[in-house]
Amino acid sequence: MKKTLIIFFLMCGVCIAQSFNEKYSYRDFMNQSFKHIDVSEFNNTTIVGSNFYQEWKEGDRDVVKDIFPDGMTGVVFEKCNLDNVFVPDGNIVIGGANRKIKVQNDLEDWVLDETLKAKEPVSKGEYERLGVSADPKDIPKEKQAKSVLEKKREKISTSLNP
Amino acid sequence: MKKFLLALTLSLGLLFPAVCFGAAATMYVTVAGDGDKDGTSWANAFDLANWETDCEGSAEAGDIYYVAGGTYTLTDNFSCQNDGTAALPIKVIGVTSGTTAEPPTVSDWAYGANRPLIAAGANALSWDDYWIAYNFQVTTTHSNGFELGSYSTGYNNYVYNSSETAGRYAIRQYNFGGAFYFCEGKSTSGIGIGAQNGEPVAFSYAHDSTDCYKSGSLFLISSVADTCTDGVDLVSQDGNSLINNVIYGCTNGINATDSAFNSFINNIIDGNTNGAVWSTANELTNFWDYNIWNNTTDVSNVTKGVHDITGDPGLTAPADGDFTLSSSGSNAIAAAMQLNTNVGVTGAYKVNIGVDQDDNTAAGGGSGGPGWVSMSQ
Repeated sequence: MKKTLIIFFLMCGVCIAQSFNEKYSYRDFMNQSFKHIDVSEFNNTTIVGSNFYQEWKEGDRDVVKDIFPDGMTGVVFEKCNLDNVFVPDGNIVIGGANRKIKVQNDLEDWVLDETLKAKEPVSKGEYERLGVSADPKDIPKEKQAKSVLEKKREKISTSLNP
Repeated sequence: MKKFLLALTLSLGLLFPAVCFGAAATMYVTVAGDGDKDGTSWANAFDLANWETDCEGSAEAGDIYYVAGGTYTLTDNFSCQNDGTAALPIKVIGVTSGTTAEPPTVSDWAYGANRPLIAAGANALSWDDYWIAYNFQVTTTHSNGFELGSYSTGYNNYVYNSSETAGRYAIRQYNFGGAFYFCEGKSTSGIGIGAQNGEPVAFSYAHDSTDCYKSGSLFLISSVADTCTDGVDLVSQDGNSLINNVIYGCTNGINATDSAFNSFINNIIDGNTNGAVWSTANELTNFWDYNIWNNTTDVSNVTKGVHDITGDPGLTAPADGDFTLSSSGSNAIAAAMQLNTNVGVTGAYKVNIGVDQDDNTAAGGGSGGPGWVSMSQ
């Protein structure tokens, strides 16, 4: 009984300490960095529904970017878009997305696996709808001048409007 | 007795099919949702997840979603594939945060920064056939940031595609039918607004993109192309019509390979390095007239119209996004192709070249727009 009560009060303590972070919730921070922000604005808060996506750009060494203040801890990210974002240990991600995404030679974005190899296109449904292969082995070896999906769309449009 | 009750139940089901098989619904969406989150009222508004589930899986012809202002962060593709119908389109309408009316009225519609923001990231946002999307802002890097299917319309939407990958669209009409009105499109490395098969794009603003507008056949009316590599990229598409537009500050105002059977009437083509460029001389089927030219080089392989004007149109402050005609006078005033007694009507008519239709009624006033405010970033 004593142990149960101790665990109960500890959990309550965590709940009380975890405040809702109004400043950084339900906001769009795409391609932004917070390295210059005081870490106390983040620590031990819950951030809900914000977009932190970092697009990989030509010349970037890493797909995943370290954007949060050094020493960030105790943050719960709920339903956030954390694609291409490094979430340090000591912080929690609940729901949302935390994928690695990179444009491939077909000029479309692909989700990468843990070895940073292309796994499947972000718009897999569109590939299927247009009858374009979504198999990573069919990604062109050379960077294309035009998106593979765009080429297919133009072909369809031309056939409908000769 | 059991058989009687069974027969009665079946009969009632046939008498009230609407109850059994669903009907067009009005639904409410807020960022965090509320109450039961079943969308039946503002007190029970969908949150994003429930809205997405309903939109993608259960949307029916005639449904209306009212979406309150706030930021909606996508964590996967939001793609509503169910179709409306010509008689019953599906509508998605952005309203100001805190709206309480059920249903909201036009006075609750959101404009400018008050429009609901879809923070899409790398994800797609698309609506299929017979949809009307009103009053949204979108940030995205997807290939087709905000895409509408056949016979679908976008009204008062702003989309910013910040991708550095070339050729991505901010706003796009795919397939045929539909239209864009009062929309703003910006795509850092791609296309601001793209049409596919002659869909009208009217009262819109595309800017700071590689192509402001791109044709798959374009009907562009009373719109502005501002500071793009190509203001209007016709590629080799035929059958475009550009009427009463301003094309300003681009490398090429209108760029085409050998596009034919087009009409260019009442446009101000001003402040571009090249006004209109055709790669070949094969554009004799194009109709150019009543345009104003004021560029470093006006035309290349293009013949100006017989009523065209060469000279500064006197736009008020185009570098600041003001494309009205200067109050101190303009060669565009009453200089457009316009209705007149030659076609059998009576009365005096006045139309200006470009997008600004100077107040020309005795009672004053002029038309009031929807009050949209640019969210240019």
